[in-house]
Amino acid sequence: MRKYDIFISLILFVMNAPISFASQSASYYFAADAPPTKAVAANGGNINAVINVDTGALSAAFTPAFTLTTNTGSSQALTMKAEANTQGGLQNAVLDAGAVKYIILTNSNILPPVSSLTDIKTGSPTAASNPNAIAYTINNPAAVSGRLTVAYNSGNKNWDLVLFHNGTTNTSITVPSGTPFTNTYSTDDEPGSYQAIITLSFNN
Amino acid sequence: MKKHLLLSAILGGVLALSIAPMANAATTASQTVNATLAALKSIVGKGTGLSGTIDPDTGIVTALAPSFTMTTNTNSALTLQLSATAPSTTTPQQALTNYAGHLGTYIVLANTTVPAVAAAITDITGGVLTSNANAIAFPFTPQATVAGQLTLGAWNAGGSYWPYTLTHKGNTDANNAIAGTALASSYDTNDEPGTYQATITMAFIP
Repeated sequence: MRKYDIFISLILFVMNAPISFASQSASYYFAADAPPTKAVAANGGNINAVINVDTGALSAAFTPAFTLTTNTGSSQALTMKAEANTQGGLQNAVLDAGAVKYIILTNSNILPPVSSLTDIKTGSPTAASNPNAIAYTINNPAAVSGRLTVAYNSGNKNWDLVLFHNGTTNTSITVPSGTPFTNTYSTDDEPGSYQAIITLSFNN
Repeated sequence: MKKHLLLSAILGGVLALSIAPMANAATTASQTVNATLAALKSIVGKGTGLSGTIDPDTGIVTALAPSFTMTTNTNSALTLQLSATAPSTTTPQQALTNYAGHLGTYIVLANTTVPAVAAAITDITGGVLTSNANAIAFPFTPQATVAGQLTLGAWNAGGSYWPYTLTHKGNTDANNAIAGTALASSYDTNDEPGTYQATITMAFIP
């Protein structure tokens, strides 16, 4: 009698179960959108140097580096820019004169007027007109074959980058050591820490 | 029914959590490059007015003008010292002196053709003036204070130098002068013919 009862119970359970699950599973679906991963992080490189007081030359090249991470091979646009602080706030710190591009470093201890950067950006600076701002050659950011393209935007004075690699991609930008842009270093550049901020951002 | 709702909620939560880190990833990163510029401390000699003659009869020297141009990139106070040495048979000796109260400020020039002994120079700078063959003292006028740019301090007898404080960004001249009649008892016939020299130095003090 007991075995019979168990058998009947199992039959009832098995028959009942599909009906029960069918009525519930039909009602619930989850739609979760997973947007492309877009991550950029600083990745070391040399960011410190000393300026020769006699010549204005940088003792070492700057090589700030960044790591890009994404989960798609689809094209993603980025912008790299450089800014320097002034009495009027952060200003674009890039200029081009012919085929050469320059980055302007400004004295963070004695901020220059905006006019110092304006003078340098003319491409024909006057030493006395750009106190506490010094310009150095800067290269384009490093492109990576099959992963990252780089193009200088002469209108915006920055760089347009396109990433099309699923995974991690490294890039950097170099300010070579050496002498400054003519007439940007003089005795009007007072002692202090000369800085610029280089930023890499996804556009969207 | 309730169990399924609970399970569904848990699954939804797991999915949400698994997506969350991607949404939180930074899409901007910056690096600040930094170059340190120290104070410029540069001095050059003007290179003029360094030669003259001494009249053998009167002991008067034609005017000399050992002068310097200091260059800096800051208005912050920088310390300098003006000193001088005269050659001797041994080591160069301090050549500037400032006789307190009565004789004034002098510089000792020493004979390089027939070198003086060190004691001849210190005989003058010490104010003894009894035995100083081949060493002669002449009036010396250091650059005076230039308001807002360069301040002449008090004579430092222990170090035998004139101290200055420079507070001017750019170029500043320090024009010194040697002229006039030799200090009494420093010039006589014991001073033999030859070239009498001193080396004048202006230096930034760290």
